[in-house]
Amino acid sequence: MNSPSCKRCLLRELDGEYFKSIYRYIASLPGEQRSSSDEYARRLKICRACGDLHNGMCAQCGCFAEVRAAKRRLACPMGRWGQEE
Amino acid sequence: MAKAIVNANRSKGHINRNIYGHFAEHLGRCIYNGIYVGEASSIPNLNGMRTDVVAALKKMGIPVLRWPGGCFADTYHWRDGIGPKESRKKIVNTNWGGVTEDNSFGTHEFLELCRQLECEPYISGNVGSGTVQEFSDWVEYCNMGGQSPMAEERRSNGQEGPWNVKYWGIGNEAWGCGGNMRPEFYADLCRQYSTYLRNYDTEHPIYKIASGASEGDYNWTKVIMERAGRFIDAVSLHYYTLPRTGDWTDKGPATGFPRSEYYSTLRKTFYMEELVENHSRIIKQYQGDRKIGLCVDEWGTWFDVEPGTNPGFLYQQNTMRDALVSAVNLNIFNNHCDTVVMANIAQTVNVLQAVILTEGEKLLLTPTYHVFEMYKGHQDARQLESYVETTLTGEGEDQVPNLHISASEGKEGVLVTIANLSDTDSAELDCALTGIGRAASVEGRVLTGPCGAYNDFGAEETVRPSHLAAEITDGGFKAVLPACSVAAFTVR
Repeated sequence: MNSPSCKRCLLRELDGEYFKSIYRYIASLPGEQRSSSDEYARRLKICRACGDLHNGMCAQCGCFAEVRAAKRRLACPMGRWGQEE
Repeated sequence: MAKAIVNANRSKGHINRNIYGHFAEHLGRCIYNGIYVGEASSIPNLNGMRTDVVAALKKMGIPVLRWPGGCFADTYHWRDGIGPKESRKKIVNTNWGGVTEDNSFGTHEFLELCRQLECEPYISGNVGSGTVQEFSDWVEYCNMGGQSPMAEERRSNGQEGPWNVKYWGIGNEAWGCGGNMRPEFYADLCRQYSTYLRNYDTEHPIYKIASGASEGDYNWTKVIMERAGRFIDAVSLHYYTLPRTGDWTDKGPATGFPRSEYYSTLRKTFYMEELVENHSRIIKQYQGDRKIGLCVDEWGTWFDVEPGTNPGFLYQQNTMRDALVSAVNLNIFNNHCDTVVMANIAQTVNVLQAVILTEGEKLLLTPTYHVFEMYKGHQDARQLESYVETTLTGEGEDQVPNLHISASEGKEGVLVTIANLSDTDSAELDCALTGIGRAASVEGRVLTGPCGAYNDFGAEETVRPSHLAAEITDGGFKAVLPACSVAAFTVR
């Protein structure tokens, strides 16, 4: 991966070409499995302030933050945001 | 009814406990945020090592741990990982994921981990991009008990006595990421490096492991044995099980796979037996009056990463299919214990066929973990000849024996481990034990479930061992093996 090293960046701010497939994956998730747009934004705001976010990835679970935040049933591995009801 | 025979009158020798070894590379979340979280972490730790991970690995019976790679080993300069942590070099791990490596886990931390695990360390040295001097100094730093510049430096970094590290790998995958060498060139390098990897204590001689072949590259093993065989103690072998055609960009998912990929995975994992037998034959042909071992120091399943995770981190889930793969391979290694002296499944935590997965402070044990735990009685036990009647099971071209067995006699009695590979049919087993008298008791345990079953965060106990009924007979014992299962019987 040749993208710049960036703490507290999300994928969309790094290398858009390299990670296009990730956004395609998020878009392919069935609606009932996806977080609401408000919840998605809330989660990513918390991720953006977190020291475990590096190059768009959470160091605690290995997930790209945008993917994990998009899945309704998932929670932050460190408990900073929970599952969406 | 499938007949099995375990014959205590015939044995290939003792099963080296190191066959149950593991591998931890600076890759993804194996070391960092898997095993090592640092002293300041809110996750409970002892000197930076996760206490829950250490406890689980000790319970499983980890005998040896290979480090720091893998491909990473041939870019690793050990001096970057010693001394005060705040002044250690920060580098980019170009092999895996391009993330920053801050070297906070180095030689002292690895050997502290092995101390906590009560296991042997196995260090892979840098041949691809290092020097003979650098490697020689590392051995001296770790093992020199007397006065020397390296020993003094170790003491100044807080370790008074030598660690007496026994196992040293002379490079890794020298045919590929370890330098893209020809076997002839590597054999000469291996001789040179071996010359300067010295013993510092006659009571703790080091054990030198040459970088070995990829899969069926028999010429590699032949050339290394022929030209460098008298300078080494063992040669390695790497083989990964991929469900599909071997296209590394399309390996197939770790979960939700079709039935056909369950059987193609199992068929491909049986290739390990052919590899072990053929490489062993070559080793025996050239070893002369010295015994040279075979170290299968990378093996296991390799699937597509979990969707949404960093592709460089090689994070994959682990199902009953992985349990069957590990059972078959461990049976193969047990049954070839006359040459297989070590094996290291890749990799311990959060990478490839891991025994433990973590997410933050959460931890789960995979089906593969449970197989290692159920098989640990084989460690250092006397291997016993065993045979089981089989039929073929599978789909299309992917046919495999429905049952697979190994057995040993150790402190706890006779341990018989059997895998039932059929995903649909249970198997009635009638096992005869010869040469050990009538059994007084038999205790059965089984790991079973649909071939795609796995443990997940929030459902950590979906796949776990349970009791399996077994009945003593005049000549042995009987039991029914569920479909898609791994069973362990301890006979006393």
